[in-house]
Amino acid sequence: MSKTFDRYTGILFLAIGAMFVVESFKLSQSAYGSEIGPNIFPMSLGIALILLSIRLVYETFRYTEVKNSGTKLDYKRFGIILAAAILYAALLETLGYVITTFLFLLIGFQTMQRGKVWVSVLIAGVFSLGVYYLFVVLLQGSLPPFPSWMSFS
Amino acid sequence: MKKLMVPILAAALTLGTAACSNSGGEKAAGGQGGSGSSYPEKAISFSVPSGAGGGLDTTGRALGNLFSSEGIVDSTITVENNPGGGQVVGTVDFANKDKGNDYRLLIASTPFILNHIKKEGNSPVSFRDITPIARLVTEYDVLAVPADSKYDTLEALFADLKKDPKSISFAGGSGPGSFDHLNAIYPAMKAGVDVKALKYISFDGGGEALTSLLGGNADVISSDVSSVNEYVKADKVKILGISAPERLEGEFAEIPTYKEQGIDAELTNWRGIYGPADMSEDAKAYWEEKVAQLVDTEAWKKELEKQGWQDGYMASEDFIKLMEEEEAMYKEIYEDLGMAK
Amino acid sequence: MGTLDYLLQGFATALQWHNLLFAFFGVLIGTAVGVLPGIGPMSGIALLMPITASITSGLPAEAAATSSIILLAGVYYGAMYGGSTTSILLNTPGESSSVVTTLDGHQMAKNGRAGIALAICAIGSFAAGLIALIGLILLANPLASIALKFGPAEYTSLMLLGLLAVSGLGGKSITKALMMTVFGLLLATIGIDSVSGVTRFTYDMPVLYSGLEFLTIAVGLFAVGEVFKAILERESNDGEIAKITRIIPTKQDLKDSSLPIARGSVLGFFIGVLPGAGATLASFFSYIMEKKLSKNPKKFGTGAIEGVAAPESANNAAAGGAIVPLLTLGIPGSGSTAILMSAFIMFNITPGPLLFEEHPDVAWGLIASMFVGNAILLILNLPMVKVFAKVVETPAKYLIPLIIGFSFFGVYAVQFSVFDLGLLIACGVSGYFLSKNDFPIAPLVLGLVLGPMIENNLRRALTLSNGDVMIFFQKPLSLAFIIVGILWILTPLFLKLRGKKLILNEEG
Repeated sequence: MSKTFDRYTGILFLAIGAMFVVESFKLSQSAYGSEIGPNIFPMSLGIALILLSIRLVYETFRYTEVKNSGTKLDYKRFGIILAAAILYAALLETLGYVITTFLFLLIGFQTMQRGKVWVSVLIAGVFSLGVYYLFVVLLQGSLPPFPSWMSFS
Repeated sequence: MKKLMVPILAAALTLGTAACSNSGGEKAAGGQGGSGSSYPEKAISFSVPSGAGGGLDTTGRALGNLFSSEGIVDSTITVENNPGGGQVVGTVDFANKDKGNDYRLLIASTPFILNHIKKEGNSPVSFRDITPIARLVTEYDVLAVPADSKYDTLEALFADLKKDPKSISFAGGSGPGSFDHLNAIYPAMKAGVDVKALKYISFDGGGEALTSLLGGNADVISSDVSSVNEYVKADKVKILGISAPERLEGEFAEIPTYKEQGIDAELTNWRGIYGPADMSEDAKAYWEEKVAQLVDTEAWKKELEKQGWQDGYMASEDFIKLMEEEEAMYKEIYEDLGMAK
Repeated sequence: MGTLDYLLQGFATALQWHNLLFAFFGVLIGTAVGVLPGIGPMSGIALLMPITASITSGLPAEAAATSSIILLAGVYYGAMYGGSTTSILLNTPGESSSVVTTLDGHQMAKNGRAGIALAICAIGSFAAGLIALIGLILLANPLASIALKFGPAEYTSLMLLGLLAVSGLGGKSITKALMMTVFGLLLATIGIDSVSGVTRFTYDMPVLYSGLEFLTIAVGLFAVGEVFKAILERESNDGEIAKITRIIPTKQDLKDSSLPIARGSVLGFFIGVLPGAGATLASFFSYIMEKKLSKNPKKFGTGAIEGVAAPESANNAAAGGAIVPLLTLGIPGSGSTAILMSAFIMFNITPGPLLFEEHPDVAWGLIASMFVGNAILLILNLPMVKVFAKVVETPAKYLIPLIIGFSFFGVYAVQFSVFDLGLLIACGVSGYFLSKNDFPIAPLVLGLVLGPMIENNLRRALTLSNGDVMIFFQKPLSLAFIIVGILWILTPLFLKLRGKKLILNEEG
């Protein structure tokens, strides 16, 4: 565990707790339905989170840092896949399930390891079409279809 | 995992196709709509603003299936779910994203009206923003008490509530502002009870509400008639009244309405079908005709009976008028409760 | 006819060859659906219901109903089992009741014991099914009346006990475990408050009206977080998953897990009977109970077989328990049984207090088929364990993007919203950093599940009593839970004072 991480996370959660407390004052005090208003629960939880965060920050001054074995983090690879995932989510409803899934998987496979493009294309294609067929055609579920400008019929 | 999927897919496929060829045999022939235009040229989708499995979803799917199996609509109909926020997410998306898209229709119910006028969980969209086509089915709520309760009539119940509104607790399957809640509040309000002090306890679904009633943790339940009626048959609860304008037929014929007990309250939980904003006249006429055709079929009547729904068919003009009246009525109730927007 | 006759008749129905076939397909399809992260038993059943109707359409009405329900019950069990498979292999709970399974299950997989963990799940589920069956036959009616007695006050006290127990799930730091629990409870307050109807922390965004979806958060924190870890920590992931050494549990494994399975099953069955509480609480309580009873609680969280056996048996037995209120009272105890109930209604059979009188063959057919389904699950899955376990040996370069693909699909197919996909990604990133720094994720997720239950029941109870707190002490069941809770806290303190060695709660 990392001391700095704990300290900053403690402060972050303290802020989150404070935010919930402040915001719960703004909740309407509906006279309706209950003896305890809708604001009590989040407010007391927010306070509990604040206290616990303070305790955590305090604890970070007490223990000695356990050094991480120092695994090198591959931020480049992570960044590409994260960006691809965000784009996947953003474009899913515009481009449809099959196209976005195919592209995401292709990028994912190739980012993980270059080469063997055709294998990647094959797996990505089978997965995206297979899931779409299984779910939409067979199970009558709904997924975003192909965009209307490339409609087959 | 892929290794597995292949045989499963194949197996499911064979099963599926075998079943299809079975049921497809009796498909009615013909039935091409004669509205003159070439309107449905593509597949049609019904958007349902709730998750798979609920009443609204069941209505949408039954409708889609029957349009096809009765040969009334030739285009393929798919049902899409867009759940969240008690229909708010789905209806808002439909009104904004599908403007002028004649190939998408919406199935929505009474909360669609409620969401637009209440303060909390408000929806910016109302039925005026889209194109109402028809009302399809109705369901009614009842007020019921355990079989050994001392109350036999609404009159006796409300008489005690007038003396002390906190003496009796109501249970319902959904939160304040919902249909179950209004069904508890509105008749009491009309009977002159101080409803602001009334104890209404909301549970997660009608099942939990019933549990609390049977277990003696609540005194009165507000829930839909078909689920409560099973317990009447088993002598576990008695129904004091139903929110319908007049007595229902069949197995519910015994249940007195609120109105005949001198309480001027009626509440209907309906489900209807809507077209998008700026729907073309052709498409609107097409669906009005097709829905009218469907509700006359035996298959639709059988479906209603099977699901315990009432036939609530109403053509678009009447439907719009009804929604305007209901909106005004509900607004008044919300205002009295301090829940109106 | 006596109960036993009905049961035998039920078995006769369930063992007809076509019903066996339906049970088999149900279990098969259910397992396949259950392994998809996100799609649990509930959405599985909902999706398969129309298909079921068309498959069985050739049969006469009553028989079609029985067969369909047998098939759907198979799907239910299959999906439950499928969910635990992914918990173990991919650290991805398919639903809330398999969250605790990830704690030790995934560790077992990392130690190369994936096959054994999966086999123990199947065996435990089978044993639990058996115990639940016996429980159903002997205790259905008395239990139903106890379940009815469970009002808001009783639930509140039970949940409080649950919250106390969450702290036992912590990793190295009790403070962090508590923080995560509180944070989970806080997140659960987002959305329309079902007691007052007021929107909380939604800022007029309709997507937030129904709150943050548990599944999205769980899949994000667990599955996507795990995947991000594999992507970021390049060096460590090659040797991380040990080769699978054996599939069949050793005699020692069986010995270690036999008592946890028995205890988990009994506990699970009783908790499952309570409407609403169900499988999640059952799995979670049984895990904590095993940890408390264990002579060596430190090994929990590092791949203890008891930590898989107990909760998995418990959630399966709870599924059996949930059938009690469904069949005797017509009250669905959980989302999944609610969907099963709508399947009944589809065939014009309304489950309710009269089900046993009006349709005894359907009711007992279902009970018998639950057992048959469990047996098929065991027969089907023991050989498949090998195939499933191979999943972890898939080359990381394909497996990792595919898990993200499955997670996206699972979440979108249930939620239909891009917002949830964004939440999924965000939870993935925070899940990685949190668990890397010993912030345990399971308490957060459980807080999210328990939050609404505890808050709503507390407020309901106080509304009922007009604000009088004594309601929690006047009801005997509620009082009993509170006493157990107090003992839970006081016993370790007391032992500490006496200077005894602390075996009950290592964190104090």
